[in-house]
Amino acid sequence: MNWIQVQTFAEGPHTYVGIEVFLPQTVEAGKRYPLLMLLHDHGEDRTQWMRQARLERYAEKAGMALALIDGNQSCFVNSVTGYAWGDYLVQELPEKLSGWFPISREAKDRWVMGVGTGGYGALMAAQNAPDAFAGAAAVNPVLDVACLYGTDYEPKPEYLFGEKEALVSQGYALSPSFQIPVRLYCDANHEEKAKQWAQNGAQITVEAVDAENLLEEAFQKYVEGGIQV
Amino acid sequence: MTLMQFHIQSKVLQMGMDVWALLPDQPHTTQEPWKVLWLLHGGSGDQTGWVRNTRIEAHAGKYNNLAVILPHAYHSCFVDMAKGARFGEYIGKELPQIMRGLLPQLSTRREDNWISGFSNGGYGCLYIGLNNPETFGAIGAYGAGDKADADFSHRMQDKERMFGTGDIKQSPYCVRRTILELAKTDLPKPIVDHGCGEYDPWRDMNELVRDTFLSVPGDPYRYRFTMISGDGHTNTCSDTLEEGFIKRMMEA
Repeated sequence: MNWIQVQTFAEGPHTYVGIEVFLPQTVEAGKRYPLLMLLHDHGEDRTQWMRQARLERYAEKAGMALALIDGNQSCFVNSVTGYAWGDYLVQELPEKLSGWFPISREAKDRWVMGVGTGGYGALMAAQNAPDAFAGAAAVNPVLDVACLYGTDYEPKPEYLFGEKEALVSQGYALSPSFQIPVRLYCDANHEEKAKQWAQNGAQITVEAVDAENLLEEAFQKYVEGGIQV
Repeated sequence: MTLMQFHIQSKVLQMGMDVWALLPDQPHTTQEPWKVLWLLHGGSGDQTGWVRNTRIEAHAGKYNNLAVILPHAYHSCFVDMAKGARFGEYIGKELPQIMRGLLPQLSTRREDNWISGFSNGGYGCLYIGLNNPETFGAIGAYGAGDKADADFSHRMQDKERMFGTGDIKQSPYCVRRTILELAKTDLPKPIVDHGCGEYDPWRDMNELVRDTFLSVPGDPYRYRFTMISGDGHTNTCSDTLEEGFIKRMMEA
């Protein structure tokens, strides 16, 4: 594939960010490609997905564009302290990517997938902006950020989400009922809990993946089966 | 501006290539195609040189519709080497196609595509620009002489690898010959902006190129020569001349 490392200013979080973009090797004139955005886990950065999974094997065959994006420690949501990483993910970045590159401008051609806290971010995007994406996927996602409180998580969850008691009122709680298709890919340690959480939900399915090959197996399954290009 | 590092594959070179680009920060707000400055590095340089050694981002960033593409041509003088790879074809023909595919907002009009460079890249942009007048509407050649006038007596291997064993003056690598030949054709002529520092050690070679342009009847190249007083063959000189070229083209 064509690999493009982008350094640009992100208005939402008011900082310079990196983006790793992959486009099909041969770009057809006039064609605009569907986009899958990939979100990293806490403690990682945008390169996690390309280091831990052979993305190009599957994305080239599927004729997709990929964007691996930074979220720093934000879980890809707007923080109570004013960093709008959620706006960046949902609106600013898709607009800019389809402004620079031959990437579709339409929500029906756009998916978001994340791992861990990035999985939470992908599900939050699906919950809050169902008009902006065709679907979302999460690998071993954090389903309730309340579990981060009182741990050694840095920075303190209070700085991102506010007080633990206000998570629901502040809009940081996830519900398993979605308006667009959502897939959870979970290893043996996460599968049971995810299935319990999803059982009374809507538009949500849970699939098992092997912990040894977590990101690549989930990515392959989503690109080959979860996404309808 | 937004900096992009492209990793592409060239079929002409049969090689993976690095290309840098400086692009508008707000791509979704402009509908009109972007003008494109194809900017070539100096001898032994690479795609990073202009960004690291000059204020190119400040000059190009004054406009919201200008893209700068920075290729890498290794130690090739940007030509189709007599005994080597075809870097001239890569940059003059293949790269515009590849980059227009990856960045659809790049203008394809020749009037909006300008090729420029300093030192080795100054020669390279003359060679590529004059040989692809349907692609490039302007050339900004700085610290730029004709390799056909250069003294290769102490590095014959370099000379033969790039320009072959014969007299360069009798070959397509001679840009002063190409200036005169293109002038006789019906092909469109690029605007040519040329210049060097007052103390450039190759000032005499620049002046030979200058005099060749000035000898063409009717000035089809809308030729301009700028001498930077008090400067030589330096980064400050290339920065000043490139700033002037961007201003000339953007405010034309």
